[in-house]
Amino acid sequence: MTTEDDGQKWRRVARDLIAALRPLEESLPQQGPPGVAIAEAVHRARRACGLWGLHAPREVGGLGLSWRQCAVVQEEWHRSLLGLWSYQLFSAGEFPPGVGGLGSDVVEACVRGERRVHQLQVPEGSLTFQMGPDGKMMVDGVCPGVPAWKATDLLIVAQGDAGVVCTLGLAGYAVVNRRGTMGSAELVDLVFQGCRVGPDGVLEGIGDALARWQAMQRLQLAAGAVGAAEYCLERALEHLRGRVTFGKPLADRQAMQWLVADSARELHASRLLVHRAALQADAGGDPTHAALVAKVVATDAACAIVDRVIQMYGGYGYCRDLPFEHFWRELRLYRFLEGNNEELAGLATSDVLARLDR
Amino acid sequence: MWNGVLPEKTQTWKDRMRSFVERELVPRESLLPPFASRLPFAELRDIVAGLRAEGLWGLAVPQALGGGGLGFVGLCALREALAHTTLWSLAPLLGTEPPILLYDCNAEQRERYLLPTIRGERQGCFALTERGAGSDAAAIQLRADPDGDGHYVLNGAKIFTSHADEADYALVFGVTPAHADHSAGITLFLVDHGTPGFEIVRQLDTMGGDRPSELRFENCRVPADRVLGEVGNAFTMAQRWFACDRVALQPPIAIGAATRCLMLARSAGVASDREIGPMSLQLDAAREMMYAAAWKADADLDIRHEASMVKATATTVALHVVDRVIQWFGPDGYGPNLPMERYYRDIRRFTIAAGTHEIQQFVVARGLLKGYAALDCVEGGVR
Ligand SMILES: Cc1cc2nc3c(=O)[nH]c(=O)nc-3n(C[C@H](O)[C@H](O)[C@H](O)COP(=O)(O)OP(=O)(O)OC[C@H]3O[C@@H](n4cnc5c(N)ncnc54)[C@H](O)[C@@H]3O)c2cc1C
Repeated sequence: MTTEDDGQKWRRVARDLIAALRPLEESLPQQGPPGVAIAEAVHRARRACGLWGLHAPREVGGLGLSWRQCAVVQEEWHRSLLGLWSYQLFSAGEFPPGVGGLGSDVVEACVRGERRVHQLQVPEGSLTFQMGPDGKMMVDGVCPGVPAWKATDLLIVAQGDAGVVCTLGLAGYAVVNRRGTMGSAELVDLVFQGCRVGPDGVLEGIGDALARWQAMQRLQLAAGAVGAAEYCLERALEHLRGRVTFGKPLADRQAMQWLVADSARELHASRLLVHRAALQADAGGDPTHAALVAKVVATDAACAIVDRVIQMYGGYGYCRDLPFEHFWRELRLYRFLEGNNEELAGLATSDVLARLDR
Repeated sequence: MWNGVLPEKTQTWKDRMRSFVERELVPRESLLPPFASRLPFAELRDIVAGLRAEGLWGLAVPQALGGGGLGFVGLCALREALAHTTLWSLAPLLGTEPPILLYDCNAEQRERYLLPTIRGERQGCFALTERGAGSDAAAIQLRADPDGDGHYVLNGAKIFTSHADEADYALVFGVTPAHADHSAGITLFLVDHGTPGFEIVRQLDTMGGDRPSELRFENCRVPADRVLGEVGNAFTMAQRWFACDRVALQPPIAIGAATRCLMLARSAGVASDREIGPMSLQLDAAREMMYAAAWKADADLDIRHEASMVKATATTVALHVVDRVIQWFGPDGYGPNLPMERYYRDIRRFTIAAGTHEIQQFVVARGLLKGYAALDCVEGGVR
């Protein structure tokens, strides 16, 4: 395990790195993935300062940061648009711990950054998994609307406790219908048609480990949302102090103060929920539920906060000269990633009510 | 008093607009670039020709000016129907019904600006906002000084002028100094594109399709007969126009767009009626507010108070609805294969442009607290 000091250290590293990289923000395209040059520059910079494999254990070459430390780093990292599109970078140097069946060579390659592993948990019934007589798992069905970055290298597609590892080029597995969105992400559909996966790629009894891994990813999204919203709100505070209309600074206007106060409250609550989930996981508990709640609340809140920031900036907020409309477009995706917030909230109802009732 | 039912003739035209939208515009939506509001020239030409052939042009314009005389209720109805396509924001489609501000043109300006605009031959843009003067529009700095030789000399800059790149002339607000027969004040000028000293500096990229411009005026000489209305009196003249715009420009688009999104959600089965129902009721209420105000504007009653209520309500309700629908559709709601994300990005500006949400709220509350607006404004309104 790492110490609290380690966490602070990596937080500072992330802060400095984002500050150094911020000028690159200007070259991000309005829409669609950033060019290779920017992507590589960010990767290189992260590698160079060691901000890599945050959660991966030290034994395999990672930093071994705790859940809470990872969350804090992710908050810092999201204080720039660069952090938002490269959210998936969290997977840089990571692998799902406890998923038996991923060979140690794969794990090490992931930590070195030579390979990427992602997970996709699909609802029961969306794919059929059937063990064939030849010992191969036969997979059929379609997974629509998957973020394209998930299907770039190794993808664990799981339903319940069983899953398969898909790689590009696997016969019967196709990544199709690549399409843009209002942000930098692209979406694809995964089509499985008579896809047969050999014993090497079949994973069993992975439900719990994957659930924990997904909780980690949800928490990264939540923490990132907190960092992004905090950055935008900080800038709005400065703006309100400086901009004068009708002879008074906007900061003196109650209409603006209420936008600030609403945002501050939502930000605070989101941060608390992120840390609650992280601390639970660090104490060895099951963070699944807490991470889900944090993800829903924090990503909804971040969109609302950045929307208010746009409003506080008036016409300037709506324009590309300032980064806020872009922040909003990127954050809007977070309300879908690792589960649609409205559906997740529905799933959480019983648990939340049970806790409230205690 | 508004009775909740569109006049038959208006409903007929609204239905025609709606079928035109379904037939001619919706199939072309995929041609719209993600961050601009324009189409290839030939497409646009066909659309405009189609609108004209169907008589869907100048319908709200008073009959005395050769229009259809459907008034503000008609304008709201037509724009509500138009909003059933994401192409609603194409400049020529806005041009089917010119801004009422031009009705104040004098006889000569009428021939030069108003009538050609009504016919769709010329198009204007509207330059009020400056860097230091947005909400606080009266703080504009652009100077317009008489040169003693029958001209005004304009010096200054404007920002966020929508459609300036496509317009033939600009309506420019400038500060004129005190003079023998009037005090210092703000004056409105009709300035042709191409007038020396008038320049579009750049266009701003935004979250949506509108790409408003920054304008610069440097010793730009404008003939004194291009003053619209009286010198120093532009804001008084523009009051009614602002109010009518708050009712008839953005609200019908917001409501039509949100309605389409809700209907798409329902037919795709991505949400239940328990979710869709409450949203539809909010839209219905906002729409009622809009038509009631439009009706009063047609009756020449003062609508300044409810205009702000209409804008504040319709725009926020619509944004909320469209955001929910995006969520119901899942990640594909966030992508361009469905119209929701485009609608959202375009109508997001409605709570900023043409008077921010906060300014509308302020106007509503101030009117009531200072006693010149009534809570019951169904019949009376501003006292
Ligand atoms: C896409 C787009 C198109 C536009 N098109 C045009 C156009 O064609 N022509 C044109 O002239 N202008 C246009 N505008 C400008 C628009 O009208 C202004 O942006 C708007 O009036 C707000 O002014 P501002 O941007 O300077 O913001 P500010 O006035 O600086 O306002 C910033 C924030 O402070 C709030 N605020 C300001 N004063 C107060 C107060 N007293 N009390 C409480 N809150 C306050 C506002 O509500 C806002 O939230 C356009 C703007 C956009 C974004």
